[in-house]
Amino acid sequence: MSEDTAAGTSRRTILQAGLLATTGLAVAAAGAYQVFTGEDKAEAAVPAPGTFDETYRGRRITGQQAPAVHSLSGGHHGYGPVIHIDGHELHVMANGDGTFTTSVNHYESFRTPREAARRAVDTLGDLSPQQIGN
Amino acid sequence: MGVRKNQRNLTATERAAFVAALIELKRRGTYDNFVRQHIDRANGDSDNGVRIGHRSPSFLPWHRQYLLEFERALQAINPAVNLPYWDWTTDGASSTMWNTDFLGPNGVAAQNYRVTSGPFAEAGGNWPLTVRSDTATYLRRNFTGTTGVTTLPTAGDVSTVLAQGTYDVSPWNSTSASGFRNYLEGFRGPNVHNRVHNWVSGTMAGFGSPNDPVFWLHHCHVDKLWSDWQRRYPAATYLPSAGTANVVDIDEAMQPWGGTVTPRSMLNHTAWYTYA
Repeated sequence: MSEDTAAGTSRRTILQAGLLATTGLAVAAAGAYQVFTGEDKAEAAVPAPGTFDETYRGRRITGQQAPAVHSLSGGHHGYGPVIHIDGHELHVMANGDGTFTTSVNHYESFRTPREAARRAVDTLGDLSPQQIGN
Repeated sequence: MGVRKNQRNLTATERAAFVAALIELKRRGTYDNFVRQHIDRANGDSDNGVRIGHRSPSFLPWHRQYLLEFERALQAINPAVNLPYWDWTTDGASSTMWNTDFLGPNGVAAQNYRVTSGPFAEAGGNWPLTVRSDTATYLRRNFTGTTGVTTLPTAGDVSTVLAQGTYDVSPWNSTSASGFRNYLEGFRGPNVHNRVHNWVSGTMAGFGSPNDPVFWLHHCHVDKLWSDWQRRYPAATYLPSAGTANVVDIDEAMQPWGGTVTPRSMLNHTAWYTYA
């Protein structure tokens, strides 16, 4: 463990650039492991899009690429996408193998932010995600 | 020194004492401090940055200390209480653990998987969820998970995990391709710890998983498996040893405790508790 705040910020900036550059490779590598549950395998070869706006089971889910380093809930995951469910931010982070994990499904990995958002809706039912600390 | 038992071997008195201590801890506000501690840690842990409580080698010593502090908080209320463990290889959906005199049952689908009976049901008023990662103010469970196909780990899965003779490997995160820690945590290998969270689902699926009392019994079993592994491989130890960016080396302090709480300080639990 060797990271002070200033070093952490510059390191995240580098990681952000690196993540975008290697997303395709990372997703391909993730496919080599049994991270996924099986459905929709064709999508695994496509780089994570991160941007979407759709209605899923009656909820509006949106995803954008995050331009900022900091998210609402802490600085560590700010280089990933931002997901909203009916306007409520869902904490999401990019994993080392190109997959994504959210605060609603903290113990699962998803190939794309859209898949993570859909599973969060499945899990939440009529509930909404809530950012801790607000 | 306490003895942590399989929950199926608790007497009715022990079950009642455990439930009563949980509810009293909740009433005092202490329980929610533990939930917040877990959410803070989950917010901060990432594969490419600082990682302490999850997806990292210190997943096991971090949770060992976390459970120990929780157990001590229960014992401050009732010194006779010890954490029980849930062996999910033998106790599934039909376990007496889910009876209304203990942890209560599965959630009700028509009520968005709200738990509606037992000591932790919303209606009883003893278990409001106040520190959360979603808007549910009540406990939820959805056995077999959101997709309805999640199964609990088997004894064979546990054997596969215990066969990993190395504690952990680079890059010391959720992508570590082998090693006991990541096999047990569940990002690689048969998936053990993560899968149980996903099987209980509802409250247990998210950052706020300690809001479900079964969290402690689940992690107590995870801790027991680490203890079993330690006895099986006495020459192996925690890794990494030194100089690893963003990861807690064996002699580095673990946050939020800091000070003398290092992975090495957590290796021998026998002065605090043993497993029966």
